[in-house]
Amino acid sequence: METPLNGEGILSTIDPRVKILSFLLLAWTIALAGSLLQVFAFFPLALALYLTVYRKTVAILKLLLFADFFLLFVVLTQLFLGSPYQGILIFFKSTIIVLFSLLLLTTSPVFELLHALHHLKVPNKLLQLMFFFYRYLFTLNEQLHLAKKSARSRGFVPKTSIQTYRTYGYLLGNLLLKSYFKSERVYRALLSRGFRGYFPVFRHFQIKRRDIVFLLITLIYWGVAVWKFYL
Amino acid sequence: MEVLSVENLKVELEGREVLKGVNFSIEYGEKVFITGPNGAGKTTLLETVMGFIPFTGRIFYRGKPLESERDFEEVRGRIGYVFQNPDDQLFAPTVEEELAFAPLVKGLKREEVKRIVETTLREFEIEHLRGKPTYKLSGGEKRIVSVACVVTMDPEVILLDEPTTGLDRKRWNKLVEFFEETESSLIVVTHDTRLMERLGWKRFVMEDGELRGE
Repeated sequence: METPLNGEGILSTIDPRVKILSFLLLAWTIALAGSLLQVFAFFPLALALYLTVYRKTVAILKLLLFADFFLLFVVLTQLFLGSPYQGILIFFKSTIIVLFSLLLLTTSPVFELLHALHHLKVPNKLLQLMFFFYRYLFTLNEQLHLAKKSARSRGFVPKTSIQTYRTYGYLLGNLLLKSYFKSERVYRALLSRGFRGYFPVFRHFQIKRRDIVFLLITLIYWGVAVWKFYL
Repeated sequence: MEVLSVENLKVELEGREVLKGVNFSIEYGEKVFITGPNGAGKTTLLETVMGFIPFTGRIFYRGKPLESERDFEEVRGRIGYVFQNPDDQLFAPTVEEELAFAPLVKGLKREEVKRIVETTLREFEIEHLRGKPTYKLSGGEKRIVSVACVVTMDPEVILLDEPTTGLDRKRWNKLVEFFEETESSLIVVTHDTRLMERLGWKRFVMEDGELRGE
């Protein structure tokens, strides 16, 4: 359950703070686009970034399709009940923003992104919440698989029956209780090692020349695109 | 001189008396085992000493009574606790961050933290695990990392709950080596008879909420 493009291509070596800032700038500008031309002004940049991770084309396409599936409802509503042009515009705007998010955000591990958000002054409590949510998602998933395995090992075969619903009820109830007790034990683990509401980080980011170059290229591209197509 | 002691410690959980007036003390550098049947109250004793469970009676650290949460907060950096289930203990994203957590919380300088982390990684022969996410470690690796991350706190007393469970021979020997060499006082809850025979420390037996010397 790691980010899909983590460790792939040169983008994964760029400082996450730079990537988050670049993403926010690009996404904000594209979201404000009023025409397809303004949206497609950023397509060459997206294409250039994609080429650095082209080996993950299948994964990128799958994720794009997944996002577009939800967009389909919005687009269809616009096509039949509103303005077809608006529908198409929303579709391409969203697709290119999702593509940028995949290329810029999912090329870093989640923990590094959270660390970067801390440097970008996102509230600490929110980040801790996100950190623990992500950290224990794996454990929750593992527990659910173990519980299912245990049920199957004792002959459980899911059917459309009261017994099946009852079994799933037990599994979910058990998971809920386990999560509750686990959270108490994890809190104790934090306390036992001196935790007082602040989560320190050992490895810190260092801005390198390539980060500055990347930021400059993005800013120049953004500036030219805005000047040519937005103003 | 006593570093940690408890007097007439009683704990009641869900209407059941789990600890029935436990008296116990440990001196600087002293190392002891606590053994006994499942459900006898061994883990409860350790968790009570850490201030996680409400109790009656008295707990002293260096002769000072621990009464409020604030008292326990102050001593937690000096009393290390290795949980029975390492999955409960490891919360940081990587092994390296896990080891650095307590020294960073203590406010040590980054260079000093780096030195401590490197020394501990070497001491426990887990350098190869430094960047690995803690949830991806094997059972034995989790166990050894859970001990290592307490060691980086440089505690005066370490409470260890079943620390040898699931360890292969190599890691078992490594842990025994650490037990022999450390200057910290150790309270080890275990069923591992091989460990108890090998180290030959004083043993206490916990039975039905009562602790007695063997």
